Amino acid sequence: MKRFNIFAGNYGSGKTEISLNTALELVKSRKTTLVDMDVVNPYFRSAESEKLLADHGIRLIAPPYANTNVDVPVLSAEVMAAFESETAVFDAGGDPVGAAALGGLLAQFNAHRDETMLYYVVNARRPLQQTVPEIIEMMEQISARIRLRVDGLINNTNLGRETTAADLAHGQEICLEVSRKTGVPISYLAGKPEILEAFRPQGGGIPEIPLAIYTFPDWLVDDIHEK
Amino acid sequence: MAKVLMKGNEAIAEAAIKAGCTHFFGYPITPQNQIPEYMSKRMPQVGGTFIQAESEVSAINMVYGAAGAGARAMTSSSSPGISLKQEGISYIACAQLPCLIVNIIRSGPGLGGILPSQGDYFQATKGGGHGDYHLVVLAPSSVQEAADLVAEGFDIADQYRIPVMILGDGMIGQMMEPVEFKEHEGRKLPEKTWAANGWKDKSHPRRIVNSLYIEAEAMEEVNCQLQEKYAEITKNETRVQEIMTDDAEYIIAAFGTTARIAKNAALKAREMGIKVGVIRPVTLWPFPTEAFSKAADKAKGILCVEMNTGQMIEDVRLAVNGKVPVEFYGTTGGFVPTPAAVVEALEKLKEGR
Repeated sequence: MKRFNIFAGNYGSGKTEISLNTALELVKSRKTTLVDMDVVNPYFRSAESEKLLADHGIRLIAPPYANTNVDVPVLSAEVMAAFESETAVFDAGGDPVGAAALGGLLAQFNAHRDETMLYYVVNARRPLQQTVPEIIEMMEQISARIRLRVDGLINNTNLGRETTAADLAHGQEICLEVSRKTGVPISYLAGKPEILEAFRPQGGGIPEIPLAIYTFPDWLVDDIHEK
Repeated sequence: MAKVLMKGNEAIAEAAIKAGCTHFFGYPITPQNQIPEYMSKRMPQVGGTFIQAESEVSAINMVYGAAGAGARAMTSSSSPGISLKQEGISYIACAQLPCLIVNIIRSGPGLGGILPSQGDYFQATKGGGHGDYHLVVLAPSSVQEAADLVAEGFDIADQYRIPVMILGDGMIGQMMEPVEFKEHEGRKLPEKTWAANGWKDKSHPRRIVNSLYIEAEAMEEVNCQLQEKYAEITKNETRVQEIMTDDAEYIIAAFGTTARIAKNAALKAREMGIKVGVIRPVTLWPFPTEAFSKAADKAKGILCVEMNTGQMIEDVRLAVNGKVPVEFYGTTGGFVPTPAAVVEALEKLKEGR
């Protein structure tokens, strides 16, 4: 991975899990900063994993009001420090408005453009993001607000706890079509290790980001609702 | 239809559209914003109406108007916004109009905060607005159930001509889970012969939607009608889920996402040799009084767990009527109870501490 990695995508694409997992991998060899740039999503965000990150020596830069009862979309001035770290992961907001916060860092990213990758994470099992035109439209809107070209796609198609390799395979077909139409390559497959392993024979050797799930509490895992 | 991964808020909005909701009126407030956001995208696609009103007061009165004209109408908000809607809700209840109101509760009182809470139980089940009225209050514990209850809620609203509330804590609105939108069979519903939708050929008497009754007799008559309706709903629509209650010596009473934490706590307690079951009211009004009353005949004690300082516990205690001790464990401020803390509270109850 390059020095600066931005993970963008629509809500529920899995940006946060990918950001956390990537930071935990990067920190094994380099001093790592994780920047939570999400100013739109109130719950289930990188900043909630403060302790996990601290335990692994990852510096977290989060909006000052994240995880509080205040709904104020501001970023910390500390964000600039990320550009001095050995490597940094940027977890973007999940829609064009949320992604706009990254657009404010254009000068910094341009100064390091060769060392920066903007990844667009796709989960083709999300509502209103299941078809190629819907995905391309959202990707273009988010990319326009970040003011950077998308460098690579990440297929992270999943149904939460009910994900199978078939979901990833379905997402791969969609991503291939998105890639063909936009010219953006598929850079990674992401998912739980067992899903990635099951899909590997069809994966065409695309690099993988194995995910451990950090943002969901244990008690949410099973649904007690009886049909 | 293939499953999708949705936030509770999105699932509620999509379920409403699939259930034939044609009119949505709302005003933004965290943590329910994805409902109006989703509606603003989807309503134009299905030829429906989305209006971001200038305030919650306007939004609920738009629902009043649309429902009065016979449309399947809804609004959504979170705690402070629901407080603003109370006058309108009371009017709609009095005018006996069907509609769906979604409250994704945030912590309070006051402007409070954006984190999850169940602090609006009293407001939802004990009136909220003025006068002798009830809403049917449905409390989903998962994203799938939230979607299912939206479809059901619209039908209940139409069948009985009553406003129905979906009461979810912020967690239900924000968490993502797999959802399947199955073909909703739907109930056989009466024609809306009361809808004020034009006098056309004057073939029927004028239809008037009203909540003002100047004469005492007329006002009393409306109240009698409402009470008959509430008795019928209590008889037909009370819903409750019992988990591991057959051999349970202790019962946890919990609703919404808290019930899932309760189930985890019950499983942990069983590993420690304490036989614990869970009773989860799905309808908070009508309240499943009988389930608790029966459980109290066998169990040694009940622990009520809520994300508030103790609200549903009053209904549990009324149901149990002093037969066994009913104790409380709760969290506020946006904190969610942990299974470990619930187990600790169970041990205290068991030891009579």
